[in-house]
Amino acid sequence: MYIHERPRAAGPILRFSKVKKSFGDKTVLHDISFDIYPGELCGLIGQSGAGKTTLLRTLIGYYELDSGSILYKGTNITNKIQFIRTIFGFTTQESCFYEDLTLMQNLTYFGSMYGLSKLEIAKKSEQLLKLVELWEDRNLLARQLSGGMQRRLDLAIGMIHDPEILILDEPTSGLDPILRKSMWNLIKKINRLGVTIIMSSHLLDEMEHLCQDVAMIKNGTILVKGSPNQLKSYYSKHQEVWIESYPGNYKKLIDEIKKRNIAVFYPRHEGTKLIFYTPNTYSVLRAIPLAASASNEGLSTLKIEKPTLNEVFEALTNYNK
Amino acid sequence: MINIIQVLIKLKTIFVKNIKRLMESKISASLILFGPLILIFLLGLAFQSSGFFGVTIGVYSPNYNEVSQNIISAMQDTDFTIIKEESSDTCINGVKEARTHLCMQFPEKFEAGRLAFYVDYSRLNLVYAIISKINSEIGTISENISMGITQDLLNIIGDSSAQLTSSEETINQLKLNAIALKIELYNTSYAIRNMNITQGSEIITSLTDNSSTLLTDVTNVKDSLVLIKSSLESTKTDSISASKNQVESQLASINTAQTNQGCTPENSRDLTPYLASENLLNEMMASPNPTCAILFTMRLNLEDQSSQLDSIETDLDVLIDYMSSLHTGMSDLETTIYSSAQVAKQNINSLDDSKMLLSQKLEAMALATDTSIASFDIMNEQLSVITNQFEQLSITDPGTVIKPIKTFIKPLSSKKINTLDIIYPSIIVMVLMFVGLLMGNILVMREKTSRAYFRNLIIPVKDWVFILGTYLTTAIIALTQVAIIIIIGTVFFGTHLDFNVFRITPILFFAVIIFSSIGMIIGYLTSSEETSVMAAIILTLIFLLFSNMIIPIETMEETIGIFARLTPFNISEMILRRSLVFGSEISSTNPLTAIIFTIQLILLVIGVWYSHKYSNKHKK
Repeated sequence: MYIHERPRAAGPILRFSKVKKSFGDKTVLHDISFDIYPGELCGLIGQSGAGKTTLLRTLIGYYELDSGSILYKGTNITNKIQFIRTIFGFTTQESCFYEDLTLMQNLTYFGSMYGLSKLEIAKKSEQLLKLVELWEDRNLLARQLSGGMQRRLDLAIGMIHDPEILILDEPTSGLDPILRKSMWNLIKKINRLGVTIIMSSHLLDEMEHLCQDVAMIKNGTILVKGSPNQLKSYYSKHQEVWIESYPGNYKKLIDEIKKRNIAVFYPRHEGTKLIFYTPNTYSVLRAIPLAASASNEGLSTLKIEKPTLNEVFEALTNYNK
Repeated sequence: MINIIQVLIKLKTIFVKNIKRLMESKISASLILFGPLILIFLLGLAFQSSGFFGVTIGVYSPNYNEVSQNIISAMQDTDFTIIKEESSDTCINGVKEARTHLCMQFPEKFEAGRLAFYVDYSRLNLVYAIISKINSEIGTISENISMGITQDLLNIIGDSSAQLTSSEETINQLKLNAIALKIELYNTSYAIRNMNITQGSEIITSLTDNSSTLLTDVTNVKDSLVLIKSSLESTKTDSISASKNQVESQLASINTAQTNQGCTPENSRDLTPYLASENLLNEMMASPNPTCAILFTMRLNLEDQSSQLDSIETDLDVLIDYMSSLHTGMSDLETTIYSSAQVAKQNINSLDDSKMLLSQKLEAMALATDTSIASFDIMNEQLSVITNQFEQLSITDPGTVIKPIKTFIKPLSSKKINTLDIIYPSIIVMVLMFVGLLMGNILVMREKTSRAYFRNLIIPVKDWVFILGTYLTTAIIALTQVAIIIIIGTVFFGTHLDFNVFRITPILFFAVIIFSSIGMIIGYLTSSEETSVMAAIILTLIFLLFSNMIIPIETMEETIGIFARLTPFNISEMILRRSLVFGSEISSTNPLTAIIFTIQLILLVIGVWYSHKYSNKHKK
């Protein structure tokens, strides 16, 4: 589902059309359809096992599709594996390179495997290593790099053949906040170079921060796709209400709130908290203490906020359970 | 063209990457560079000679004689250390306790016993080498002993030949005697067959005829006798009895008259003496009572007549008995005459039969003599053949008998080959196997477990380029090591093998492809590096165990032996040995072996492809 399709200058660079993939009896991708536009930084949000990685790996030809098609600038490239591999760059959360080779050796090897000349490799390697700020460390063995540096090296290797589309599978997974921020900057920098980026993550603040468009995926289905602001404004018709009370009989509390004609959406427990969405912000402020008293709950926390993308996602995924 | 160049560049890149990764570890680099150097130096130093340094042999003999001393001296000359043991048990225990490598026990008498070896078969290869060496030493001594024995044997054969010739003459004489005997037998048979026994027969026939007449006469006499006897019995019954009755009646009348006349003995007188005299009447009248006298006299006469009649009757009885006995005698005579005639007839018949039988027997004897003569001929021919064979027996030299086929080992190469040369092909194939199999395996496993594995799967390079890259890396490393071994062997240890690069390179290349394929398949199919390396090592050990390196394949169970011959190690080693030792081209390989080798190669390459596919699929 697209929320307020934005006007585009050009047609999609990539179009997924009813893409389906199963492993044995388990269907991992259910008729996935969405478009990616040139220069876009598109994020795939989903919980672990939602199908993000499978979708990305299907895109680069690692997995064969069961049905559906992938169009590149309007041309069906579903079965053109070798071609697909030249237009995509890929980085993973594991960092795919030879740890016992130096940075330059890794870039030289993969550059050569992409058919680049020595000169091209040398030029591109320097350019990329400088971009990812590893030029000074080019002669170190890859295993000698820190986690963040390894991610940057992986990014450089993924771009050695100048791909039109860069796929980043959980690029900041396992990095500390500082390194994550540095990685975000790098991704932004690359995107600004005109590279279309499809990025998966389960860190929604990252998506909110980086991506122009976000597709939310759950159980192999795209729940919604749109810009983070669009999504938030769509869901910001409701306020997010956080309640913490004692002894925590939230079912009774919800019933008491509802009795007072307050609309309650997507109620859920999160730790000792009760979270739900409501459009009646002011009414709810009055109703909650009364409802708590009626249900013998000792109210300790009451917070009302506009939802983040994370909260939108959580609401959506829970709603779709 | 561009594609080929691109592929070649990619292959070079893969090779360089593999080498860099291997060399990244100093230990790995050292092993790759110095491994073959160390191996060839050690082997070169160890196998430069073909002696038996350090081999100790325990010997025991109840009595050391010249032969046993000669054998011991010969072995001492061949670098063996000899320990003379005090007893048979000590000698055997020496092997068990590993004091000695072999126990050799001499018999008390060589003519009656055997030279016994007690060996520790757990060290089979050493045992074979020692026994082979000892056998060659003992063989020389044994040959000398055999020479004397064989000379005696030849002398006996010569004497026998002479005796056979004289036997031939004897048999000829025997044959002549038999012929004479045969003639004699035929003659005798003829004579007997023609012997006239008719005269005797006629006599007997006449006698028989006469006896018939005689028999008739006797029968007639018998009949007469019956008649006579009957007549006599009738006389006795009729006449004598009537007369006696008459007399008795007269006597009764007289008695009555006497009684009536009152006759007494006193008035009765016997007038009988006067009956024929003239005085009868006077006497009668002179008697007291003439009537009584007459009666008395009559009575006396009647009594006399009666007793005469009794006597006649008795005589008649005797006569009748006599007639009966005469009749019986005649019957006996008749029987005797008849049986005598029959016996005579039978005798004549028997005599004729005997004559024929005798004649036939004699003829049979003559025929048997013929057979004997034929046998004498056969014996003579056989003796002639034997005599001819003996005469044709041109062997006068005992050495020809002991070794009718004189053998000597002549190397096909004019150069002298040492132990190192002999094991060189095996070493080369062993290096190819270890490097190929382990390197193929390690490269695949390192690639599989590498973090770059996934990226290699999504770059625009075909799978076969990676496989080829692994083959290339393995082949270059293995062939480089073999080249090092060959160069060092040639330069420092002076091997005499024919290292023709153009001839052996294809063999080495095919071998390394086979071994690296096996290693790669193991790598693709196993999930952990440890398991993979373990499997590769086990396989190399199996190839080694089922080769001639440890124990000869020929000593294995037949079926296992056949399969063992077909292992890539043994086929490669065999083809390489032929090339290095005899200079054989790979094209001259036995077609069946070449086919099996090619099939193995093709199957393994296909196996690599599918196991690679399986591994990728599994990884996904």
